Amino acid sequence: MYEEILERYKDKKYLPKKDFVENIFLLLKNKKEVLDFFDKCYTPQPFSIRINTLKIDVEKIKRRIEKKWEVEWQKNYGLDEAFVIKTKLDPGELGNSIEHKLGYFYVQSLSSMLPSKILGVEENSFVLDCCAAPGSKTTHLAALMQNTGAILANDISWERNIALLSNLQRCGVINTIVTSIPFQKLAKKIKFSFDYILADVPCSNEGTIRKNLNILKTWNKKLSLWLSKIQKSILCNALNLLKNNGYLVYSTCTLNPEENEEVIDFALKRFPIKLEKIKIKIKTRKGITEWKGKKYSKDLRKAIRIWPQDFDSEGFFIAKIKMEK
Amino acid sequence: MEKLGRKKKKEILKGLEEYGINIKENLIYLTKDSVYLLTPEAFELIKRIKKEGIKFRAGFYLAKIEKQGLRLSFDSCQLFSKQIKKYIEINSEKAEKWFRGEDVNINNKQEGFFVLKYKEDFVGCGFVKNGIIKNYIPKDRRIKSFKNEC
Repeated sequence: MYEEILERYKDKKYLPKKDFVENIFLLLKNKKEVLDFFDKCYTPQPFSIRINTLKIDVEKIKRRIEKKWEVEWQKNYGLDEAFVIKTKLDPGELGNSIEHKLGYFYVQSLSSMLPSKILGVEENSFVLDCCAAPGSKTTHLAALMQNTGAILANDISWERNIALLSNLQRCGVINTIVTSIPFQKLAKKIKFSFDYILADVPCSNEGTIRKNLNILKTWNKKLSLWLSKIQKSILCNALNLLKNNGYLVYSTCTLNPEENEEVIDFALKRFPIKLEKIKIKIKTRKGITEWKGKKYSKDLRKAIRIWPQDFDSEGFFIAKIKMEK
Repeated sequence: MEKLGRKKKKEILKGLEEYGINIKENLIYLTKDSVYLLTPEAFELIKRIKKEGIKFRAGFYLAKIEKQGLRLSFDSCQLFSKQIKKYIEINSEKAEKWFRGEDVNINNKQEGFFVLKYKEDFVGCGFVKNGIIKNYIPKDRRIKSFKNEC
């Protein structure tokens, strides 16, 4: 299989490593599917935008952007605020448009709009965003909450938080507080709990290869194992801050189970939690319950895997957890 | 963050009302002359965070208190677009200059802060004096090439 991949993409600048191809084959279990996946990886990802409903109505901006670009509304996929831009864009064209400068939209991949949506936040609630910068999901959460309640948005990197603060201002967000300390440290200091938590954790980004082929070059097994430890720590600390009957969404833009199902399985063994079934209108695959000899909870079938060959966006993993103390 | 006294709060609310803005139940606070806006729940969260000695940044930059009155921030102009009633409309030629960060000539004899409206958008707030509106558009929100926007 690996030799075939090398031959098929021999003219490409970056080629996948053998271990990575083997992992993908183990996950998809089908040669055609593996080729479909890599074909998609080498196909640039279409640009998509999320309308910032805090500043403008979707219908109103739809009429405007349709005059500028060929757009495809993603309403049928349950993404009422999302549009895919079909027009070939000049570099920086979206970011330099008047609509972007006025904070009417956020350039965001379709898959990355799902975690905030799946969390199902209610107005006036208390929300924690564990790894928030640069703010695509935080600003989305604020819009879903209609600028009510409160969001505590933390990110370890102050540099990334500068972008987060700028995006919060551009989007007109009035319900968010930004902190910049290691999440584990923050979690230990906080003495109160939240109704909803988003844990969109740092990951090896395998799902974003289409946007950055360099990931194929930098990918290594050890990175995933190292990240897996960090992810387990973030998730467990976050669960300690979740109210009874509260919800937590865990998400990554990576595909390997060590950073996904294994992390959730780790938490399932340690907390009184259960996984919730995720109902969305796009094609997804169930979370896996076995990986390289390790068995995970059967509940993990309720988690979802988004593959770029199924849904024309980034690869993603999402699990929705309910606290049942 | 400075807690607002009743008098100061009244003054700011009055300044906002002049633009037609009513911030309802949301709270405002000051850092020097900058006015920030927060939800009551976010304010509650800040109180709890402060207790734990955690450093934070919070609030939407709403306006600046100037000698001549309250100047709305660029983002307030869109966030409160459904309420704003104190504005001057400009054409595409003037909007292009405005988005480049330049002061713009306008046909307005009144003096004071006004919001500028280009087509259906509120595109910032500036000070009008002698028929010229002074530009305060933030650098990162300026547009170099305006040709696609006319």
